[in-house]
Parts: sequence; C-alpha cells; structure tokens
Amino acid sequence: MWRWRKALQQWVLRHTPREAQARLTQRRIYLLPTRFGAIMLVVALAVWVGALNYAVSLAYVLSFWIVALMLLSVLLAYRQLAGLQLQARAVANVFAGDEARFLVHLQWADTQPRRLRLRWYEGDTVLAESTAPGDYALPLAAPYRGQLAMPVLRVWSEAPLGLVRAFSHVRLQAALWVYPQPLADPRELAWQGGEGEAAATEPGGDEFAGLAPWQAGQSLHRIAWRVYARRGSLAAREFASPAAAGGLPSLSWDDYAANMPPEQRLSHLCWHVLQATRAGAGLRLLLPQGEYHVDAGDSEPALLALARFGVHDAGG
Amino acid sequence: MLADELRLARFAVLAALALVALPLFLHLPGWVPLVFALLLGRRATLVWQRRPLPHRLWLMLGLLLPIAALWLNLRTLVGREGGVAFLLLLVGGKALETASLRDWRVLLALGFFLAATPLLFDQSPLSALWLLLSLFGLTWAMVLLAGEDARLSPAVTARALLLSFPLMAVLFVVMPRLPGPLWSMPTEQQGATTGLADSMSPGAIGKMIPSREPVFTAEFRGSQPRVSQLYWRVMVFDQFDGTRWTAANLALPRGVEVGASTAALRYDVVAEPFQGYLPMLEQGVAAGEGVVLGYQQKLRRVDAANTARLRYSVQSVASSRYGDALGEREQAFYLQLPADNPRTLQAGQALAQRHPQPAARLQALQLWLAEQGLRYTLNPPTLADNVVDGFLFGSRQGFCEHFSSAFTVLARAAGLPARVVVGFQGGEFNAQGRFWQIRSSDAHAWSEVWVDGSWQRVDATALVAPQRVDAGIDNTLGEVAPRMPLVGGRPPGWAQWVGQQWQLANFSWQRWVVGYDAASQQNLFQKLGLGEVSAANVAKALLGGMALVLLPLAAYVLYGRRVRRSLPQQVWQGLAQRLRRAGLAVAPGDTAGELQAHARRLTEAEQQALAALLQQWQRLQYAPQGGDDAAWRSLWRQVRAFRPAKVGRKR
Repeated sequence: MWRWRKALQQWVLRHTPREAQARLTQRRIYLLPTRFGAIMLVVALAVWVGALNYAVSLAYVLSFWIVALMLLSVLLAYRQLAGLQLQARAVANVFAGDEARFLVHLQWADTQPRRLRLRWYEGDTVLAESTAPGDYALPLAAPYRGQLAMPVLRVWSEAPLGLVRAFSHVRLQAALWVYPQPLADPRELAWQGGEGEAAATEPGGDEFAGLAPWQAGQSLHRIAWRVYARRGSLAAREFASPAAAGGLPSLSWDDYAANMPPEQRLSHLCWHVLQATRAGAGLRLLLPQGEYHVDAGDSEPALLALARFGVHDAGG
Repeated sequence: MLADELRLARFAVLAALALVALPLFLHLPGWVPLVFALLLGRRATLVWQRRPLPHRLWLMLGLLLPIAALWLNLRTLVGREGGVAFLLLLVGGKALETASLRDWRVLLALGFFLAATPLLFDQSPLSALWLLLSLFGLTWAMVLLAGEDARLSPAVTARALLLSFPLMAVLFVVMPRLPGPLWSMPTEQQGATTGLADSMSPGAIGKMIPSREPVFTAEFRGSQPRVSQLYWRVMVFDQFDGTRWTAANLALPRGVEVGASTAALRYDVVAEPFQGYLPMLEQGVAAGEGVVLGYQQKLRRVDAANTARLRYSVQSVASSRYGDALGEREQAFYLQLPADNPRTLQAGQALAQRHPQPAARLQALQLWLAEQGLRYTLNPPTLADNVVDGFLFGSRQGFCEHFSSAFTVLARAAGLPARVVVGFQGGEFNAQGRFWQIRSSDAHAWSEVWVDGSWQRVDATALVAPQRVDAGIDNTLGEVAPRMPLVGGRPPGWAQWVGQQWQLANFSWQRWVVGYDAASQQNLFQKLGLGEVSAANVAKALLGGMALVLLPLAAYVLYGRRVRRSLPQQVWQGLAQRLRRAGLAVAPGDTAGELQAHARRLTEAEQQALAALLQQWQRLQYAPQGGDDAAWRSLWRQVRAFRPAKVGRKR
C-alpha cells in the first residue's frame, strides 16, 4: 500500500511539468469520491437493498437521491476548479532554516466565488483556503542552502457537499535563493584586523555614531528600541564606518582550515558578511569562483554569491 | 481539531437527525424516540457548553439500559419495529461519541439511513413530504459540514437537491425492480386498521360501515363494469358454531370453471391483503404476476407472508355462478350445522321436503326469506343466543352479515351445501382518473349455495334492500341516516368533488410512486418502446435517460453561471460582433474611436450608420441617469438591424 502510494507520488511528480502559468482544464482535473462520499454510497446501497426487500418505493427515492447528489457533486466539484488560473512568485530570499514564502495568484473569469484549498503535494497541512481571486502566501520550510524552487502544488475542492473531491497538481515557475545559515565565528578575520578593537567580537557594539530615522528595509537589529519606548518613533542606530580609510578589507574562502566542510565555511562567511553589513563596512569577498565587492550596507550580492556557491542556477 | 465555525454544522446534524426520527413516534413505542431525543439533546448541550464527551463507560451504560428495556418491551431487536428501534438507539449513542469531523460525517450518513425507516411503516404523500423535509435538513447539515458559509447554505442546499432531482427520477424509473423480496420478513401481527376481520359474527362488519376510508382501487382496461356486477370477493367463511362464522382454510387444488362464455373483464387492483387475501371480482378466472388464485376462489400473494400493498392484474367473468365439482365429503362439510337456531333449521327442513329439486328449493328459500318482512338497517338490536332465530323470527332487522348468515344457515338446513363470502360490493367511479375507489363502507357479505354442480351467489341483502346492490351503500343508508349521528348521508357536491380530486391524487400516488414495481416498470418500458426489462435494455434506458438529464445539467452547472451582462455592455458587444462578422479585426477592448478606425474599410453609408450608433451609445452612456432601459432597448434593436456587408478578403 505504502509502496504503491510512493509510486503514485513519483508518477505525479514526473508528470507535472514546470510552467509559468497554469490553467486548469478537464485534462488535468481529477475527480474522486471522498471518504465521506464512499460512506454515503454504502448508505445508498443499504437503503436500496432495504427498498428492494421490503418493496418500499419511497426508499428507492431516498437511495437514488443520494446517488444523484453524488453525481451532481462530480459536476459541482469539477466546476470549482475548471478554468482556474495560477501563477506564483517567491516573496524573498531567506536564510537556511527559515521559512520561505511563495505567493500564489489565483484568478478565474467569472465572478462566482469558489472554495479552493491549497497545499504542497508532499505535505498534509492546508495552507490556504480561498473564496475570492487574489494572492495567497504559502509557507515552505527552507532547510538547505541553494536554490529553492516552488514544489508541486495541490489545489483541490470538495465544495459544496464534501462528497466528491476535484483536485489538480501544478508546478509553477517560482524560485528563491536560500542563503547559508549564519554561523558565529569566534575568530577574528582580516577585515576586522586593523580597524580597531571596536567591532571585534561584539557586533554593533559601542562604536555608536548617532541616531537616524529608521527606514523600511533596514535591519531590525538596528532599531533603537529604548528610543522607541521613549519617543514612540523608530530610530536606527548609526555606526561609524570602520573601513572609511584605505582599501576594502577582504573576507576569503581560504581563511579557514582546508578540512572544514564547505557548508560550515559558507555559514561562517555568511555570518561575517552580515556582521560587516550591520557595521556598515564594505567588503571584498573572495570565493573560489570569483571575487565580490560588497558595498557598505548592502549584503545582497555577497549573500547571493554564497547561496549560489556550487549551485547550478535553474532559472526562474 | 474542529474549527469553531463547524459548531453550527454540528447543531444542524443533530437537528436533522431529530427531524428524521420524528415520524417514528407514530410507529414505535413512544419512549424509544424519546430516549433518542434525549441523547441528541445531551449532545447538543455539550456542543453548546463546549464541554468534552462523556466517558465511554457512561455511554455504554446509558445505551445498554434502553436496549434491555427494548428487549423486554418488544421481545426482539430485529424485524421492522425491533430493528428500527434498535438502530435508533444505536444512532443516538453514536451522537454521544462524535468528536472529529469524520465522526460527524459518519453520524450524518447514519441520519440518511435513518430517513428510510419511517417509510417502512407508511408511504403516504405525507410521508413523502416528510422525507423531502428530512432530506433538506440532512443535506443542509452536509453543506455546513463541508464548510459552506452559513448564510449561503440554505440556497446551496436547495440548489443541490433541485438539480439532483431529475437524476434521481431517471434512476427511480429505470433501475430494475425485483418482483419479490431478497429474504422473507418475519411476519408481524398488524392491527386490523382497515379491512376485514378473520371471522364474522353479526355486528362486526356493521362497525366498519360508517368509515368511508378508501381501502383499495381498481382500474379496468376496456369497458367499465356495472355497479351491480362489482362483487369483490376476499374471504370465504365455511364453519359456523351457532354465533360465529370462521374459515376452515381447507387447501384443495381446484380451478374455477365459468360456464357462460362472456368476455372476461381485465383489471388491475392496488390493495393490501386482508387477512392474507386480496380482493378480486367474482368470478376470477386468471391471476396475473405476483398473485395466485386458490381454493374457494381466494386470491393471495405469491409471498403470502408479505402484508405490503401490491398492484396486481386479474381477469374475471362477471357471473353469479361458477362450476365446481364437490365430492361427497366436501358436500357434507358445507352442510355442517350446530344444533342451535332450531326454528331456522325447522323452516329449512320444511322447505326441503316441499321442494325436492335443488334449483327449485333454492328459489323457494329466497322467496321465503323475502316474505319474512325483514328490514335493512345499520343499527340492529343486539342478539344473544340463537342469533339466527332471533334475527329471522324476532327483531327482523339487520344488515348484510345478518342476512348472509341467516340465509346460509337456512340453505344448509335445507340440505344445500352453502357458505358465506366476505368482501366488498360496489365502489365509486372516479371519472377523471377512470378508476374505481372502494371504501371500508363498501364491505359486504353474501352467500354461496352449491346447486347442480356449481356455486350460485345469493345476495340475501339484495332480496330485502335491492338498492344496496344497485346504488351502493351511500344511497341505501340515506333513509336511515338521521338516526346515525356522524355517518351515512352523502356529502355535499363540492365536498364530493374535492374528495374525488384527493382520491385521484392518492390513486396516482399509489399507482406511480408507491406501486411502481416490476410489473409497472415492465408496462412503462413497453410503452416507451424499450421492450423487456433486461440488463441490456436497462443499460440502454439508463444511458439514454442519464444523457438526457446530465447533458443539460452539466451545461447549466458549467456554463450557466455566467454573469449576465448589463444592457449597455450587451449593446456594445453586439456592435463589435456585427463588425467582426463583416470581417473587421475588432479586438475585445477596442474603444469607439478604434472601432471607427477599423470601419474605414466599410462603405460610406455603413460608416455613417455606425457613427450614428456610436454617437447614440455615447449619449446614453453620459445621460444623467445612465439612460433608461427603454432607450437602451431601442438602441439594441437598431444595433441588431445594423448589418454591414462583408468587406473584401485580402486585396
């Protein structure tokens, strides 16, 4: 049974091509009775046998009406999915171990409400229930560094009676990058070296330069919460740039022992990139595949470089 | 795990179950549905107070006690009453252990099954109405359990039931019916609510004459019979103990011979067995499917223990006699008399001595009875011992029981084998439905005397009150009605009309819904030109019927819910369509200016017409009230009249 199920899953995964936009038609909408539907069929059968035996005409009416409701449910459930259009995009890149989010956009031509449910094909939790067209955010755990493509999505509906389930599988074009999980590195690296002892081990420590209004997009770590408590407005702590003078400090793949696993090395590097960004420092990131210049405060290119390390970009 | 929004759904399930079980109060010992209601009520309060379910042990105890009581009460947990009561208690118990959504759905499914149980007891139109109500309740609960919005749910429910009705109807008509049951039911003693008693002592039938309750219907193919021909034979009583006639229930193989070769009447009857026997016109010569004609010309079901209503066809020859070769012992049996009623015995013997020829003797017996000054009444004085003597020589008042009983005793005393036949006489013809309605008040008893190798019907009542047979009971009782408070006199004309309509509805109901069985199905199949009810034909009919219903249904469900366009939109789309038909590449989102740009390929006159239409369209669009409907409709007519000629293909 389990094996059979596994084989079925494999088949579904193989036969769901990735597409930018999916439109559900009868070729890809499947219909099956739910467990409740099966129970109701058994009840209809029992009533039918009773009607047969006791020659009760009205019991035939009851039995056949149940069957008719089943048949109608097939149409109604199919109708819930027919013509549904899906598109998806990733919300943002995340760090490994965090939760990624994909936005699925549902739309259909008419104005009738539909009762749809969404979940990942390999998962059990209902992620979203929709009655109106629009965007629905679907969370997905991102445990590993690299590129995370949106998995196969199952969209289904049992409306309105719960007797028959119409379902379909789509694999939408949407992907995001998962940065390495930051891992604290106690060692002092070259970029921290000459810049004084300030930001050495304690990030965002005492090298405090002043306050400025906090702007969306800035790290939450920079919010001066005590100020917020006092004034009620968000303020960001500004730090003096330690790399103001001279060339950019560099952060290198080769700073670590040769026998350190690559993922751990990337995690440490990621941590340092974040520290430097937080401190407002510019960096030169030296990786085997190339060299990346990180401008002060913008960690994105460096993090992307780390996420892409050794990964073939599938696009999307 | 259940979301709070399902609370309403849970109440709906419990309410639907209560609704379904309500008619069972009429058919089961009252406390059983009451316990069921209490169990449901308990569950409802738990849902209301958001409290957990009781421990299984309490539930077991709370269920075992009523089941034990049920056993003590009915001595059975199967059969119709016992089984339904048992099921009811179990479903009540299940209600108290429903936690997850799946449990609630199982409970709801049980509710659907429970909805079938009241139908075992009663299939009247009222029951059907209740079934409809139950189905609505159950489906509504189903819709709510599926998570539908509470406000929309009644409409969704009604829609689902309405749309599935035609599918149900096709299945109902086409799915094959079996002529007999799969397994025989335990026989149950049913109260003699309607019908005839299993014995006759003067007075028993008199009690049911006042009731005008319909008991069965008959439908003749071809010519209709006369009222005086309608002797509906049901039972034969052949044993007399001095006060009471009973049936000996001899079972000898015997056919019916009818000398007179008049054409047989063919007719269908829908009736419930009376003490196991079904009504049939005298003299029955052939019985159709499902019934068998037996000794003493009694008709019964093939599955004799089944007391359900049945539709059957019979052929009878309207005659007052039928041939039957009686052996010595049988003749002696039909002559047995107790020593009671000495004066009647004496009179019979005296007549026998005077008329040695049996035929002449029978004639003389009838003459003698007619001369006794007897009077027909429904309120005869009660008679104690020697009831026949008391009637013939004392009170001289009575009704059919008295007459038939007295005449049969007289005939036996005169040495002629005789017996009493009980059944119905007459009926009311419903001209619209072209069927006969026979009522309780048509119950009748007459005698049969064996003369010269055949049984001769003698209706002693008719000797005294001939109008009883010619005009039916209603007219006979007209004279005596004032003496009876409630009974008797014919109802006024309009009431009769209403009554006839109701009968017609009831008859159609019995015929087409309740009585729709293997035979009716066969008839219908033949009428539709489908031939026999065979697997292939059923499949054909099912496919055809389903296609007939499903295709429009699918079209409606899948495409019928398009939003209706407003009138301005309709006009605009119409205009765009005309231009497209003329061969212009008009896109759905084109503006008025773009339409005119496309239209440059049209002729001058057409361009002007289009410009005029567009101008009017814009004027209406910008009108203060958005233009009234009449103006829009007039524009729509103009647009429809606008037919630009097809522009030349690629030049």
